[in-house]
Amino acid sequence: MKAWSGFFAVFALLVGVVWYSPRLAFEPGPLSKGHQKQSDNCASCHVPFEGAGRCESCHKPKEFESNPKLVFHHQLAQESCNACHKIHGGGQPKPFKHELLPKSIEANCVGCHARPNDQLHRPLGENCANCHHQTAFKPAQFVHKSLPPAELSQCTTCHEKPADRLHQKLTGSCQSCHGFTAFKPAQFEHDQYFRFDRHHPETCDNCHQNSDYSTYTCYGCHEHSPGSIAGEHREEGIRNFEDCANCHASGDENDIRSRRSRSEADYSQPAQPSSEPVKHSYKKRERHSEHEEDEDDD
Amino acid sequence: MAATVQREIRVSVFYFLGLILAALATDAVLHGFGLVWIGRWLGPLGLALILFSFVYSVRRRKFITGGKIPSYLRFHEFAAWLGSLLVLVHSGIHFNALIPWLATLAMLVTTASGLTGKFLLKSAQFRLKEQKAGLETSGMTPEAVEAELLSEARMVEAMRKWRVLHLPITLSFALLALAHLGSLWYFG
Repeated sequence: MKAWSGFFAVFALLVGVVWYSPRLAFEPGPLSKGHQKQSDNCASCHVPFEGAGRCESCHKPKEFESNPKLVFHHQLAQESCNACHKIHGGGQPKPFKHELLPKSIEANCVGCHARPNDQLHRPLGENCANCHHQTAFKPAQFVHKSLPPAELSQCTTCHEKPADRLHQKLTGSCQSCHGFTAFKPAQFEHDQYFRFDRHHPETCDNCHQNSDYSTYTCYGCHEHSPGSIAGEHREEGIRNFEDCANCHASGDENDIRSRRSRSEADYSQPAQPSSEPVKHSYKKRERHSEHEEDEDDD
Repeated sequence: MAATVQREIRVSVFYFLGLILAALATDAVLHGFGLVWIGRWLGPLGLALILFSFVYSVRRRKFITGGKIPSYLRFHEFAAWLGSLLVLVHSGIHFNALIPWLATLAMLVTTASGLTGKFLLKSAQFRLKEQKAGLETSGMTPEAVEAELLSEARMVEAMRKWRVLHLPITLSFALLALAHLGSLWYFG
């Protein structure tokens, strides 16, 4: 019997605590600020054996209709205030779950959230989910597709133009070389076409006239005149010499690309020197050469 | 003999401190990975393990007959310890309602009591083994050795006293746990 005295003491303690203060015995943390008036009446919120489901006895649904910030409550898929609102225990409220909303409300972000009034967000469309997640505004991943087409080409509105010599001289579209996901890697490497040197500096307009990078000419300087170039090449038996960079990888006249890339037609077809710029596509020279070789085989 | 007793004490202390340290580590991992919600479900799981560990008591009282009792005892020790760990993680470090905390405290006392019983049993087994070897080398017949060992009252008495205490301690824990479960059921 002596051994059971401890058990009876625990039982007496339990009964005593519950009788003296049910809150002390069972309350899982202090009530939130707005609910403290109900601190002595658990039954004002809790229905015995059913849970805390008496919210609407105080919070009238009509209140939500008049407040634009609260009106979405009517649309919630789950009618449980406790899914989001933490009444006991204080601390951080439970994070709002967007999945509780029907899809039509969920997609209409600006129905509840104010659109940031900054330079970046002003021109954007209303599909915030392109960049932002539902759990937090930051971190976000900017997606250029969100921009209207007119804004999409205005890169320098948001991005600073690089201060290096190459970029400072460019006036064309950044998209010619750069993608939308990252500045690097850029698609364009000038060395694949022609290497700069001190006699051939990165002065774009010397070769690419009117900032048109789809064409170039080597007759933009006094050294290379159509007449002298034609004479030098005809001496070698080369007839097709209009696309200089097709053979000359740099300003060094002996730095000739593989002869395999040149067709017999280069030697056989007579050509007249032209001061018209050469039209070319931004493909790697090697691939371009292989293509020409295939055509020769045919 | 004294060295063996000391070793068994160290083992019991290791299991008890290990329980608390493992609970703290698990709690830290759950918080670190944002999985605190799992803690809510560790309570029922731990309680289920503790209840299941009582299959040993059922076997010992011969309500079931299959299997060896020492195996049931080892399962009881393991499942009760693991269940206590899960309940301890479930309780977390949140000082709110008194009843759940009294239940947690009672659970720890019960675990400590269980480890004490384990220690007493191990010590008794060692003492028996030692005495048996001593009696056999003295030239006694096996029947006489058995009779002598049965008359060894000290160990039997210690275990009996411990059982008398362990039951009300366990029931105190069960009472407080029931009060906690009842409040959950009532308030939701």
